[in-house]
Amino acid sequence: MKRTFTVMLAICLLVGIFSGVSVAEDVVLELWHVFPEGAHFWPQAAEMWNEKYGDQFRIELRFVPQGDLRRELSTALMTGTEPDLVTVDNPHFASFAEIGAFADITDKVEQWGKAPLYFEGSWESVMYNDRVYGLPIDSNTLALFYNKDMFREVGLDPEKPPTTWSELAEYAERLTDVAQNRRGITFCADRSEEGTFQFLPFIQQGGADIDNINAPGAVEALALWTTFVKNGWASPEVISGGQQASFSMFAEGHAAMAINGPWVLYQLDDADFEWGLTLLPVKDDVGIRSSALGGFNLGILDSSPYTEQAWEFVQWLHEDDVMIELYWNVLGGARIPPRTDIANLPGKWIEDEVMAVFIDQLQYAKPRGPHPQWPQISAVIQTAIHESLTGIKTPQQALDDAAVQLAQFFK
Amino acid sequence: MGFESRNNRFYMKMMLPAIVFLAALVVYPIVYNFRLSLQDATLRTIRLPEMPFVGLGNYASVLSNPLFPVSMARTLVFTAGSIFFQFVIGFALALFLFRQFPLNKFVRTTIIMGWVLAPIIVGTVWSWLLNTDHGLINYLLKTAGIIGQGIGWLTDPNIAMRGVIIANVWFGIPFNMLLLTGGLSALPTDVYEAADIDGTSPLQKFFFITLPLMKPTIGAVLMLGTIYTLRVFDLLWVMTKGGPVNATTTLPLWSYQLSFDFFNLGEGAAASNILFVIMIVFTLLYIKFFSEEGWDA
Repeated sequence: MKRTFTVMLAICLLVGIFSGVSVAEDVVLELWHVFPEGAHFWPQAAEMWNEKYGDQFRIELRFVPQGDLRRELSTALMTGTEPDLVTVDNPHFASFAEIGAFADITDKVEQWGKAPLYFEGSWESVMYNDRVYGLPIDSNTLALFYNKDMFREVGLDPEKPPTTWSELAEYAERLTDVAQNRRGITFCADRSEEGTFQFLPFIQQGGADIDNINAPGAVEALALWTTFVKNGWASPEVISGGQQASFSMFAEGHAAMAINGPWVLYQLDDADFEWGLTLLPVKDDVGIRSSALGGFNLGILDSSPYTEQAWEFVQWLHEDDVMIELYWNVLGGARIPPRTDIANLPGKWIEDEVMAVFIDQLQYAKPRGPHPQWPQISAVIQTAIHESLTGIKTPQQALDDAAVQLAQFFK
Repeated sequence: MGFESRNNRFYMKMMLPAIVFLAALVVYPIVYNFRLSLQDATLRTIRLPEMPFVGLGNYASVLSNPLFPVSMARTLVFTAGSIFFQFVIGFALALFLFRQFPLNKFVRTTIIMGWVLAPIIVGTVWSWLLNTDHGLINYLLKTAGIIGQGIGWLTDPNIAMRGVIIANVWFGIPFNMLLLTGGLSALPTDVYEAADIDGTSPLQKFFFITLPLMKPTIGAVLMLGTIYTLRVFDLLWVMTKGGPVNATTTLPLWSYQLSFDFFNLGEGAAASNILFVIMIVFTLLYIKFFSEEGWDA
């Protein structure tokens, strides 16, 4: 009897110890993000979670520079050292979804039921083959900046920015004064994803897309860009250097109009001219609105032992009050939340003249792809842009050749 | 066990750290890269326990890619152009700075400073200098009335190669100058004294005494320079990313694009191994050159 009691006691103690261990053992979810200090809300979001729910599991962050993310993530997948959650630039999201790196959260999202609240383009970018692999965490797009002072100087109405391609070309010509080192327009045709990003809206405005890139509308789009450079209305430098460099031409008063996104707004902090922002123009005879969809998606790694916890965290991150706190209070409204209902809340983003334009434009923003071979597709497009802008080929030739190379990706 | 073999074993032990170091940091990556070049290593296969072997498939697709001959030609033009001007200007500066004059050391140090800079900085500065609209070079040329319109140093596909070569020449001059100055100071003075007595002209002295005596140094400079230039990546990446179109896409840039843009690690490894073989050929030439001539010929 006494012996049985002792055994029982021992078992109880052991159970106690082990259950104690399993409670004490911290569950830590690793989240990789690409935002340098101050650029995004991740440190604050992790802190908020850890303070409130740190006893369930903790979120730990690792910053990976954006240029290194795909390399780091693929190496990690190769060696089995990948994180539990990761932010990926939206055009590159599909290639990781395709290899099964991300957990399929379609059923969870259906139950959750908030999908219809997101910007259409943003939501499309987390889908691959009709399944959902993540949530958009950040949405941005391109619009047209213009210098009102310069408009006045050449006799243009500063409250009537160009609305069509022909107006855009006409204004660009009138605003150009090469002797004064002033170009009519600046955009980004860089040999990188940024070049493709800026060019795609134009071919979509022309009624074409990457799977029929030599359609007449796309050829006209490339012809328009080529005209800008050939006639000196845009600097030949647009083909080298990213969007930041391209925009500095506008910010420094060397270009009267600029195609760019909210990430360059800081360059205008000290602008000594009056500027405006408007939707990208449309092609006169087609009238289709389109812009590029930028931003990041948050994916849960399929290999993570904590996919349930990760989903819990992601859900929390997208709760109304958490979103408002992070996007509005922490970031000061500098980033647009991916949900239309939050972005359109009264008294917030839409009251801001600039952000309201971007939110308006976001409705027409289309994702790049989603296609697992996006980088290859993008490289073909970049080459075609360069060939035409530098006069090596006509817009038609450049896009015909691109179409031949792209055919293999759209079987 | 004789004294000699015991001594050998002692030497072996002393060399062990170096051998381990070389094996881990030089041999292993080379072998791994070679293995990778035989595998179908893409994003789709990296999570498999063993990436499928495809034999020489990656080499075949690299060699049949239309960008291969293009990037090969760009590599050769970039290397030949850079080496020629680096060497000529470097040699001229070495001859000039070999003379004793005030501020000699200052000038020499200043020139060498350029060599200390990181390629990324050199590339960034040169892409500013060569900017079509706002670059200093175009500004000077315009002010001097040499050109009317800005030259698209890095934006015109027909000129961009010259733009990047200019930057790389500037970057490579100190290296050439430094090694050649070293060679010059090792030359025997009595030959020149004898030549003076015979009344040879400075030009004759250069072609019939300096050049032949400098042969080993020149060989070393050219070979090392070639190997360094063949693998230049960062400078080009910062300046043009291989553009415009593919005007400055050399093999290292293309290999990087295959590996880290397209994530076709197998083809990227194959492309870099082709470059590796080319460099090995130059290295062997270099070694052969010196085993025949000897260091102190």
